[in-house]
Amino acid sequence: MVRWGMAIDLDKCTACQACVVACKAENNVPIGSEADQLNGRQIAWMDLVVKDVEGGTVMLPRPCMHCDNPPCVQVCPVGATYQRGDGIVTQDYSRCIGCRLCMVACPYGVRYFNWREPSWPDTFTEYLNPSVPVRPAGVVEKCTFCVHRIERLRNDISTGNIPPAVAKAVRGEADMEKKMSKAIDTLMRRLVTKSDEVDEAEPEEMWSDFDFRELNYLPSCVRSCTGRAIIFGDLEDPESLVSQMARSKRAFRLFEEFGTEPKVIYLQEGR
Amino acid sequence: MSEQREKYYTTGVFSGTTFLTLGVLLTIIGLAVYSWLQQLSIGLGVTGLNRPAVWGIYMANFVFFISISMSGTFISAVMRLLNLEWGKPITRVAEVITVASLVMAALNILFDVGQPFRALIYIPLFGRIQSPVGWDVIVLLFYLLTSLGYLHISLIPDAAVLSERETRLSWLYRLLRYDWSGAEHQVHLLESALKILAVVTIPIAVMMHTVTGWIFGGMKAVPTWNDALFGPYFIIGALLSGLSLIIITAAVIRERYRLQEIMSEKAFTNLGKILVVFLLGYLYFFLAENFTVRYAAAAEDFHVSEFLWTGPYSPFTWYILVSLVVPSIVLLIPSLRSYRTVVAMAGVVLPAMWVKRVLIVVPGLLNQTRLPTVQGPVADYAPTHVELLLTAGSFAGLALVLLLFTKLFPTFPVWEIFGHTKTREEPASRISLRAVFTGWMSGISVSSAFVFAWAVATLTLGEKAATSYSVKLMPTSVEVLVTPELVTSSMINLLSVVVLAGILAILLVREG
Ligand code: SF4
Ligand code: SF4
Repeated sequence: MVRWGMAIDLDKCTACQACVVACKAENNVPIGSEADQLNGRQIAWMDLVVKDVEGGTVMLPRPCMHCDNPPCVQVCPVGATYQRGDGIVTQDYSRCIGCRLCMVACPYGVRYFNWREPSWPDTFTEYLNPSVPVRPAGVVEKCTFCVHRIERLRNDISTGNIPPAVAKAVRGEADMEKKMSKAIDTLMRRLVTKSDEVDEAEPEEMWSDFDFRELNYLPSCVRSCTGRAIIFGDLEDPESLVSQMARSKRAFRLFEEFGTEPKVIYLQEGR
Repeated sequence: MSEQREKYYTTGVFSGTTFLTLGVLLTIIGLAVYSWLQQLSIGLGVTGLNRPAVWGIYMANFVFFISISMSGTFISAVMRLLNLEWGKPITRVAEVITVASLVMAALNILFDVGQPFRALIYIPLFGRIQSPVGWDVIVLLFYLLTSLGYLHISLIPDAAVLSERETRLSWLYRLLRYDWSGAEHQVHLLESALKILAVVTIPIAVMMHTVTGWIFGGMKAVPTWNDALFGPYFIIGALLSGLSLIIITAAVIRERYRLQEIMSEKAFTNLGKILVVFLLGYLYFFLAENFTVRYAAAAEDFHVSEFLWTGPYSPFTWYILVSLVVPSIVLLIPSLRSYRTVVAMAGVVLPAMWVKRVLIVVPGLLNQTRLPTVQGPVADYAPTHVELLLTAGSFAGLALVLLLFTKLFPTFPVWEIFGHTKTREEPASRISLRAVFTGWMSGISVSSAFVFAWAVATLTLGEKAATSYSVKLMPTSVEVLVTPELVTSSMINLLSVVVLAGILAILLVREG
């Protein structure tokens, strides 16, 4: 079984907020009116935390933590938010009754309610992503680890419609979960090539006919991160890039005291 | 004697003042309905709710209405069980308040959710026993069921008397009288039925308020909410606000219906004594709550406390404190404890208890800003006219139910004060009293058996779908859409079983 997780290296994060924008574009996040934005009704699945602490300011990108033990799932009265087998906590928009219990229960404040019908300025509506549903007023939404991209990968692996480098990486694996884990890891390593924490063992020709759109199997924030600070992958596989990062001495998770077992791992800034 | 009791059976008299009151109430309700339609068509954006203040005065209203529902059946059950003569005249008022306020509480939840129509369908269809909402819906149904049964059964003798006079509504009274003829065995049955229901009601009422407290106590993420105190705190708060409302309503009815002989001043001073006990109890909990937070709390909780005592919400907190302390002092002095002061003090306590409910809900949420983000707002909450109108509408609804009820039925159980009499005519109905009572009891017991079975099934089978975290018997890893039939449809089954059991019992047990 895979267990998708994310590692965010704060040393590499430049706080540019490319991930914030990429997420909004990818997931059809409504922009809404300016008045609503000022009144605390802004939706941002990925947002940048800015907190003054002793000795400076901490900035960290904050997606949903996809907790292993998610309080939001525990309190939902109708099972509208649920945890998939691969550990992703996601949301059934047509099931949600909008009671907002989950927003109250989440210690990280990553859940957003649709106070009005979704709206976008100008011609935004012409560029909505067809793979992601648009949410009606009155339901809660949040980061899904771009679950539609992961599902597309599953589909493409089964139809064989993947780049040769990825195809080679998944060839030896028997079950689909393992294949996806390997494929994502291969793509991830490709994305962060030449970063000091990875040995780049792949010969260059493997990627000769590689189309960079293939990297779009990775979550939108990961794909767009300018500092390559966000790493995505399978936490179950000890060899994956994200597991290697999670074992780092600098690794920490937010608010462990709540016992939520978050799957987003931060790497402290080196001092 | 008999003339005297006759006059309490005058029903359906609508004076000018009544029409005026009715008009005012209906106007408020009309405005509330309009606001609700507005909210339904635009979304909750028309309210002042935002993030992090995701719950506002709708939730506070819900808690408040639940808490005043404590008054009724619980207090009247205690009075019946202890056989307090002076308390009997107010039991009916109390029971009506319970039923009406439970309905208003349920309505306020519907105002609060983003998709009320889905809520009505999906909670019965996909309800999960792990969610605080699940517990609340279950207990609310039970409480409504027992309270309605209780009110219904205690009405029967009065309905029988009413059915024998010529009014436009005699068909209604005839329907509600069943085969009541005032015979010895029926009186005995009625009184045991009331006792049994009273005993059943008390634990349900206690659980109702505990579970409402646990909605908050079970949220570990919000500062000051994750507190073991919430269950008992809500119970004592419910007793306090419930009793205050009973006192006020009983006083209004006493004045309007000239019941000075029935509801004696003594009854009110006695209620005042009970009120002061609840007040002191509440103040004790208030102290306990603040002690831990002020003396030894985590930084976050302390921050909320500062927010409440010296920050933007301090006027409310001090207002509550004064409105709890002043009535306690006034009511503790025996020479001041008269009918007038008791009613006035209840009037001081009740609004303060509503404000307290707002202060339970809002400040904790406003201070839940552990991770301040770039796009996160400045935490602030102010209710809009929609929320205020819907709040006013719910209170008007409660008043309307009370008004109509007192116009239709005697405002106190006449038979309990003046004793039973044999009715003049033989009853025409074929549904026996026994059948009615069996109906209520089987409804209650069958549904509790069902809920119990459902809970056990969830625990042992492991709720495959919506992942049972409360009870971690299974790894948390299966998707929601493969939920076993048993768990998904349990709530809808529960509802139908309750209804069916009641109907079947009446049909089976009826005589002839
Ligand atoms: S971070 Fe919040 S929304 Fe995400 S899984 Fe954890 S509790 Fe749920
Ligand atoms: S708002 Fe929706 S997802 Fe959240 S607890 Fe309520 S029904 Fe579940």
